[in-house]
Amino acid sequence: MLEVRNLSVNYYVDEGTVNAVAGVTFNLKEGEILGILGESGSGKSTLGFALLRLVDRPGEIVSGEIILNGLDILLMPERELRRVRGAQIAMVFQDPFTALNPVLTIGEQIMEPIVLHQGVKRGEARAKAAEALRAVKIDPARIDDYPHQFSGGMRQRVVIAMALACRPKILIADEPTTALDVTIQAEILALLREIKNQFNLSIIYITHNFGIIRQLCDRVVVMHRGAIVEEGKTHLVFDQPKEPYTKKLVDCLRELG
Amino acid sequence: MRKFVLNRLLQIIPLLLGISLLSFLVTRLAPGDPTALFIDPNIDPLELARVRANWGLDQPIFIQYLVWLKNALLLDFGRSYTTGLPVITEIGERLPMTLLLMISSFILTLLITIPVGVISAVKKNSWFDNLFTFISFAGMAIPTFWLGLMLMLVFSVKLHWLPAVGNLALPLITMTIGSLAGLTRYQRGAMLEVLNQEYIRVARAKGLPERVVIFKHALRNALLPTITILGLSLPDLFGGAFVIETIFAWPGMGRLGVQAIFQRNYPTIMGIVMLSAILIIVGNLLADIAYAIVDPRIRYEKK
Repeated sequence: MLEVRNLSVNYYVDEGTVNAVAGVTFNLKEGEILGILGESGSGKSTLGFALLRLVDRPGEIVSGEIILNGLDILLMPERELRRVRGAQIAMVFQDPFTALNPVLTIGEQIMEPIVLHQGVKRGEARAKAAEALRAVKIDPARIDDYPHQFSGGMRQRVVIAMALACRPKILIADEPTTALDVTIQAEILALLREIKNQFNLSIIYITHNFGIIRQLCDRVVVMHRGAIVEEGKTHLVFDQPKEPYTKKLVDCLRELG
Repeated sequence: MRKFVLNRLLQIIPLLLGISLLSFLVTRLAPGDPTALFIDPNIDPLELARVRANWGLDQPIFIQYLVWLKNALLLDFGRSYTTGLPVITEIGERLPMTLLLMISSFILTLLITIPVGVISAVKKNSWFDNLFTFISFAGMAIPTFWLGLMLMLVFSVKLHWLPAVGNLALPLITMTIGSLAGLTRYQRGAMLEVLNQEYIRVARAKGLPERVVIFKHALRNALLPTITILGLSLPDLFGGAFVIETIFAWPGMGRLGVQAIFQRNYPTIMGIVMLSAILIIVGNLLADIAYAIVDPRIRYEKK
């Protein structure tokens, strides 16, 4: 479905070059939830952004291929890239408090990609936005409300609705529950599982949280210092870790209880 | 929203009272006497006392204030000591010229600041950004009166392109450069900060073209600090008008004010101070309303 080969991202900072993603290769299969597990600073978020070429300066994608439907995203001209963003691959971000524009209504923000990618009139886009809100269990009557009128959990639902608005095939979720408290986390995870089936999605789920990977993901990729150290079916990686780094991680988890 | 505006309008009353009392005391207690300037120094002291009594200057200062206040509430600001014309008439004749200068400078400032701030932020550290950084710092460092005189020297005296007085161009340029400098930096800074926000990345992740990301998602947020600064810089605009109108002999309220101060022409000074205060307060109120229109978080706070 999506094939990533030898992807590298560097950050050019004053102290020198940081190789945040170092020659990463993996693939996402249709209909699966692939977990990307790593501690803070392992390069997992940068990897997520790189998949849509959203790495900001001083970061830069230096090599690799990201193949979607036989085309390399990294070689696409800007115009073509924009037709992938939001339409074929969408993203859910870490912090719902900063991911929504405070001066635009949520309806406007959800309608934007619909108008852009599907070329429909605003009235129709509004109906589709209402439908997207219903899919994430938010009252469509609130379509004209502003982000600050929602709680954190509800904002993350809005962000998910925005991502789903154009019925993408692939969803990249970058720690979408980290900023939320535990009960809300569970709700968002349940919602993700539900929409995955409903919308026939393939999901890349980026997190540092073992528990979530275990509950949610079919396969897992373990990242450490920008590289993939282990990859496999979730239960195999957890029950019989092969690499020393993964073993240490799993031991830590057992000790914690 | 209506409650918000009403509240602010009510606050204006004590504010104007305070301003009037302070400026009344400051002008009266400053050394100098209006009679000294235009009456023959060899005049009979009795005659002088008669003139002073006629203007009410022999009364205790608080009585003088209360008399002024009572008349001011009836919109009677007295007559100018020098011309004998009602202060309102005198200011009314000059005000349009000042407003012409201020409003055109204000519009020109906005027309330049916003695009320059946006381009400087988007193309950070480009030659464009560096050029305007230099111009801004130069503009902040150069005093208005010096810039005005230099422009006059170059464009009127040497090149003969523009008349030194009676033409809008030079005072307008002088005034605009003064207010432009700082504001452009604020707009650039605000834009840079907004461009680093997560919702900008989200907007790009939706596939929006950069033009929409910048102007729809970023600029609207980056306008908020600019509106605040604009409101706060209104008094500078009035201060600038005093200096610039004097240099360019612009027949506006500012020059009238400077003359009135030198002549200790109390009624005219008070009239100009009060009118400036009202215009500044109204300007700030408009800035707050504009802020509330742009930022929904302010709008809904008091619901």
